[in-house]
Amino acid sequence: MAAKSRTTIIPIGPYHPLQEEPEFFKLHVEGEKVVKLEIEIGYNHRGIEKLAEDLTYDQVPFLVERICGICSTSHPFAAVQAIEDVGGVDVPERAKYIRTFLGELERIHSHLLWLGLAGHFLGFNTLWMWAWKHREPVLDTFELITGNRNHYAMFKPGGVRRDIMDEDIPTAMRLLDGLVRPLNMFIKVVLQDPVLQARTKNVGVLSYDDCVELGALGPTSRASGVPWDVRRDHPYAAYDKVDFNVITTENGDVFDKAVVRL
Amino acid sequence: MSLKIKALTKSIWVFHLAASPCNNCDIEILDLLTPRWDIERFGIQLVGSVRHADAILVTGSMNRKAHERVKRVISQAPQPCFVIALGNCACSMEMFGASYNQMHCLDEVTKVHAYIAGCPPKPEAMIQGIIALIEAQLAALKK
Amino acid sequence: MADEVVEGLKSKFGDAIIDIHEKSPDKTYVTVAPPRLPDVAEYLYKDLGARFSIASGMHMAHGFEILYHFALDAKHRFINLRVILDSEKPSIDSCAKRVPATEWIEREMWELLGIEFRGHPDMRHLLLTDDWPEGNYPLRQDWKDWREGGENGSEK
Ligand code: SF4
Repeated sequence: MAAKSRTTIIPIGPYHPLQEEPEFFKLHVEGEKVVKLEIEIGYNHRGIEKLAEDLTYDQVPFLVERICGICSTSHPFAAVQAIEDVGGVDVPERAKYIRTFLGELERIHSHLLWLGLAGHFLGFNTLWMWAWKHREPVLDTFELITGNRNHYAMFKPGGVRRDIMDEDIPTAMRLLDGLVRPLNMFIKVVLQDPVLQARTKNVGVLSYDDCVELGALGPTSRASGVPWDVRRDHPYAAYDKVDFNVITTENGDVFDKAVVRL
Repeated sequence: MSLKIKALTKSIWVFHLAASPCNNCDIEILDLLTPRWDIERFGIQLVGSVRHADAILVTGSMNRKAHERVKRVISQAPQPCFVIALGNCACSMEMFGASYNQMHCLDEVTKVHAYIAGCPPKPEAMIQGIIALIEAQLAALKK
Repeated sequence: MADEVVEGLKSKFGDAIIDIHEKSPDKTYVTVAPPRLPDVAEYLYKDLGARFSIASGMHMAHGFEILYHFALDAKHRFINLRVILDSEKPSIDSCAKRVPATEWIEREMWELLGIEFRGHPDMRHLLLTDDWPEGNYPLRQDWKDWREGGENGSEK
C-alpha cells in the first residue's frame, strides 16, 4: 500500500508539556489524520492492590484516596461501600447525604478542571484561567467542611469521618451560590465561542457503537448518546433520593464532551 | 557559578516532572498559576521543556517505570538547576514506599535542594518553599 | 425479573453454569465452567446488551478466581461471572476477541497474577516495565518482593 509508507509516527510523552501525568502515546499519522494509536501506561502504577493487602479496613480509604488526586472521593467512596457490603454495615442517613454532597461537589470541581485544561490544550488560556478561578470556591467549600482542599479523608467504613457543622452551612451556601452565575456564563461562553466550536466540533468522534464496544463510561459515553449513569442505574448513597437529569448528546465529538460536562 | 546561582534566584522558570504522582500535587501546581495565586507575579513560570528550566518540581513517588525516565530528564537540565521534591510522595514516598513497583526515593537518585511536604502541599506552602530555597541560596552566596 | 436472566443463562448453557448465588436482589454471582466462559460472556454482552464493566482476579486458597462484572443497566442488575482456575497453571480462553472491552484487563491480570489467556490478541506488559523479570507475578500470595529477596531487583 502506498499510503502505508506515508505514515509518520509522532511520539508523545511520557513527559510532554501537554500532559499532566506521564503516559506514552504513539500516534501514527497520515497527513493530518491519526490512523493508529498505541498507548503505553503504567508510569503511575504503584501497586496499590498489594499495599492494601497489608492494611486494616480503616486504613484502606486513605490509601485508595491517593489513587487519583482529582477524584479523591470516588475511590474511597467505592472502597468503603465494598467494605460495608462485606460487613453488612448500615450507614446513617445523614452520612449518606454528606457522601453524596461531597461526590457532587467533586463533580463540579473536576468538570471545571477538565474544562480549564481543555481550554489550555486548545490554546485558549483565558478559559483555563476563568474556569480555575471559579473552581477555587468549590475547593474552599471542601476546605471548610473537610479540612483540606483535596484528599479530604472524609470516608470511613460505616459513615463519614466528620460531620458538616451547622455553622459552616451558611458559608458553604454562600460560596456555592456565588458559583451559579459564573457557571451560567461558562455555558454561554463555551457553547457559543466560534474558536472552540471550530476546534472541537467533529473532532475525535466516538460513535455509539464504539462506545458500547469499548465499554466507555461516564461523561464520555453520555457524549456519544449512551445513557449510562451509575448514579441513576445502580443508585448508591443518597442518589436515589435526589433528583437529577442524565444529560446525553449525540455526536460523541470533543465539543459534546464539553457539553455534557457543563 | 555564584553569578549563575544569583541569576537563578530571580524569575525562576520551573519544569514540572510528574513521576507517578496521584496527580493532586500536579493540579495544585497548576493552581498556582491561576488567578487566585498567580505566581507569575514573582516571575515564576511553568515551561514546557526541561532544557529551559531553572528548577524542576518533582511530584510523586517514582515507580520502576518512571525511574529511568526521571533520571534521564533530570540529567538533561542545564546546570545549575534546583530540584524540588514536592509532596510527601517525592519527599519520602509516603505510603507507597513498601510497594513492589517502587525502588528508590527521589533523593537517593539525585540531589534535592528543597523538600515541600504535604499531601498535597497547599499552594501557600509551595510558594513559601520556593522562597525559602531562594533565600537559602542567597544566604549561602553571601558567606 | 431477576430470574429471567438467570433462567436464560441456565437454559442456554445448562451444565456450564455450576452455581448461582444471589448476593442481593441486584447482584448475582454465576459460577461458570472455565471452558465456556467466553460463550457466556458473549451471550451477556451481545444478546442481552449487558455492559462489561471490569474484571477482577484474585489468588485465593482454592486457586485463582476471576470475576467478570457485567451490568445490565436497563434492568438495574449486575451479573458477575465467576470462574475458578487451578493454582498450578492457571489458563483460560481469552474473551478479548468477543468482548473487546476485556482486552486491557486481561493483560493486566496476566502480568500481575500470571493467568494465561489463550488467544489474546495482544499480550504485552500493560503496567509494569518491559524488563520485568519473567515469571514474577506480584499479586500472587507466595510472591516475594525484592526487599524479601525477590527478583524484581533494585540497581541504582
Ligand atoms: S504527596 Fe499526596 S497529593 Fe502529592 S502525589 Fe503524593 S499522594 Fe498525591
